[in-house]
Amino acid sequence: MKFAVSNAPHWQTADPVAVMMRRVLLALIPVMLVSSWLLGVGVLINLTFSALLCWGLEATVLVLRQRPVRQFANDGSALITACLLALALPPNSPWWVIAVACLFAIVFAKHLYGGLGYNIFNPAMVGYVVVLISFPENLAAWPGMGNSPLGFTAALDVFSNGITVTDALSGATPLDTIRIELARMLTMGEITAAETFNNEAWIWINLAALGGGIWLLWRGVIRWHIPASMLGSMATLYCLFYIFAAQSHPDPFTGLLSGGTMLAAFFVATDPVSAATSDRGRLIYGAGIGALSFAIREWGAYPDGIAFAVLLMNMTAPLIDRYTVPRVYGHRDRP
Amino acid sequence: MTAGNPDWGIRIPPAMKFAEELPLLIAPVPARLLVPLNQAIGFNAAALVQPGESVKKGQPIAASAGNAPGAPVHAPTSGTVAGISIQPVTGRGDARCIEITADGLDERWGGYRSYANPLGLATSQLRDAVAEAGIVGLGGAMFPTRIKLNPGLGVSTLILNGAECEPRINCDDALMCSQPDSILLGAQIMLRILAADECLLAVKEHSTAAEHLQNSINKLNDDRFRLERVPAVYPAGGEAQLIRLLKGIEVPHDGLPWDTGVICQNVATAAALADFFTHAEPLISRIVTISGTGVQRPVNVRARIGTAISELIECAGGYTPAAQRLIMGGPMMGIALPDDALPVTKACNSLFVAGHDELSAQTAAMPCIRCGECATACPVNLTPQLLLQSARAQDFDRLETLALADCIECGCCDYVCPSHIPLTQTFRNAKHTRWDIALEKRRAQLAQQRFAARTARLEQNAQSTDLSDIHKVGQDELSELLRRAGADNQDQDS
Repeated sequence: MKFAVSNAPHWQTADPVAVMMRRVLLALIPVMLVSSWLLGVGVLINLTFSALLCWGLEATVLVLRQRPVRQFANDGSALITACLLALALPPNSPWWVIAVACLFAIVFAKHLYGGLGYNIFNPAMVGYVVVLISFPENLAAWPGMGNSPLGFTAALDVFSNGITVTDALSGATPLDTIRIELARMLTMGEITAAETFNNEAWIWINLAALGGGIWLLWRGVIRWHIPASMLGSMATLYCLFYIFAAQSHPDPFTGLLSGGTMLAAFFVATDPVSAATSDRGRLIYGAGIGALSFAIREWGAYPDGIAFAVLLMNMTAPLIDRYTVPRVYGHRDRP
Repeated sequence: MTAGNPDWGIRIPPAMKFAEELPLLIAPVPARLLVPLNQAIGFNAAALVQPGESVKKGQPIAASAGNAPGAPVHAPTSGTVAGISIQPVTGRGDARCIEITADGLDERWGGYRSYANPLGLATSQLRDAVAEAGIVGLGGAMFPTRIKLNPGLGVSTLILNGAECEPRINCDDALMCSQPDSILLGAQIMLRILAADECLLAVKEHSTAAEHLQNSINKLNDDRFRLERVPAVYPAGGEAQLIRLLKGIEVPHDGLPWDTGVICQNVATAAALADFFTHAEPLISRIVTISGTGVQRPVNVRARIGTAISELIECAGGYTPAAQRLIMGGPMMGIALPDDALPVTKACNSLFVAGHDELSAQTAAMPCIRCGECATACPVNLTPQLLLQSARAQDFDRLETLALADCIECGCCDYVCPSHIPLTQTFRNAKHTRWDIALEKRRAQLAQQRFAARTARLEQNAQSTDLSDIHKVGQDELSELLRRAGADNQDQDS
């Protein structure tokens, strides 16, 4: 009897990329729900719009690049980018802000570099940073502190027509407030004692992201190195500054559970394509993101510097890879 | 004792029953056997018999010349030599094969004798016997055991490998269940030859064969033996991996396993050695695991070397309609055979007939997303994700730095890759390209040397005007040419 032949190994059973991506999307569900609950239905509008747009852009560019559309458009990576963008942007962003972010994320950061697997920068963070620089007023308007989330019709109105910052919506995030008030020489005690200061929503959102992240770790979709070293380096720095100057620095608890810390630690920094790839490299990479985020939050002009920190460390990833190749067994030195 | 869990390799769920649950059958001697002469690493054996000659079971029918590396081949049964011809051989290209028509009597050749107490023999006698018996590494490598038992340096530990490297292979387990005493006797002979102090018997955890071996060890009352349980991680049964797991020693990348003072032998090799002394039977049969959803009922079967695979499959009840691939060896490193008319060799530890459900789905590869799972799984701690980049870029310097040559082609990286990239195949190709480039470079170098030497010589000749020397110069040149021609030939052979 004759048989067809093939090359060893004849087994290749790992869950495909699309399944990995689907698991990441599943792990994002808690944080998406909690955000929508606490920050208003605007989050859902963000999510729906950016998901449709990112997927549409992905498919279009794949057609233009003459790539197998079905194989790549269904891999789920564009949807992850969309979700991360939607969660990073304020819930009541006008549609053009979201559209610009999606465009830069999918078309520029991802496909102009060669698509999935070849992008040097995390697409979602590129999109976010572009609009952060281009539309600063819109990006500073968050609900949750000093104002209540908008209802569906109001949110839809803001989404389609935009709104000026002077309107009822204006609200800084706790991180923003801390930065501004510290600059005004207030102490941390005074800032947090203020009636309008309320970090509760962000604590819940961060805990939801942490929960999803732990599930990803448990399922083996991500490994512990990046989240651990990123949160570790951030926590260490917060502790150090808190010990020596408690009144001019937020406590580690507030620091780690505000802004996009947990979302970044488990869902952005762990993006394997733009991160370092060896275990040791990932520890360095994560620690770098943590330290840079802290530095930008403390001394930079932006309330939350994680996106910049991620992009800066993305640039160093190839270099880190080069110098952290592990020692091969039977060799004395590392390559 | 159980060795610690390694931080490399892959755990493959044991869909396969252990040997105790699988029957061990003796395959019938077929009417026609095809015995390949390339059944050892080294030089092929040269036929000692002529077509038409009658042979007895166990009679040497081919041997490698003099002391050249290789191993003799014996007649698996009695009968007549029907012919000697070049035939395709499983996984090793085409080779000269001796075809034997069995006479059905299975008469033993009288040239070897059995010993009641082989341990009383002198080591030189034992060594000669190992060479005579045609024993090669039965784990699948077919390295001549004679050479491995004569490493030329001190060996402290002998590891008997019963921890079957690949999933779905189970012939060693079957052997340990059925012939634990032969394995230990073989090990004692090896210990005597090597003057080693201890013998570790490596058995996979959960294997029921361990009890049988432990009982035999207890009976023997030899405190050099120790049973070691190896975690069910692939490729923990690989030679260098096993040494690392059990002894904590890394085999140097530019050295051989025995440079560490440890020698690994397969349990079946030890048993074959014992059989030669106790039953005067050289290596003419081996146990083959037949498994996969492509056969009716998986079995372990003791088959004569040279039996056609198709006849062996009959022992497993024949094929099922699901049969898709015929793989010699395991699913991770085995060779897919194009045809089941090929003969069983000393390397054939398993025939895995894969059904549809047992093969990787033929999905298109996605781009590498640098997840690093491959690096975590790699048993030699390579970074396949970086190797892949350099292999695609044909950056051979970088591949050298990343130690591509150390890749053992175990396939773990493929197994865990979510993008389903054929990594192992890419690395295999890159290695071959690198060898080709190196060979080409060497050839160019030689040509250049030759040209330079010729130019120098011509100049010298032009200067020498003494006609009486012409004859002498011609002689010198001729001998020099002959010498270099010889050297070139050797270069091409190696």
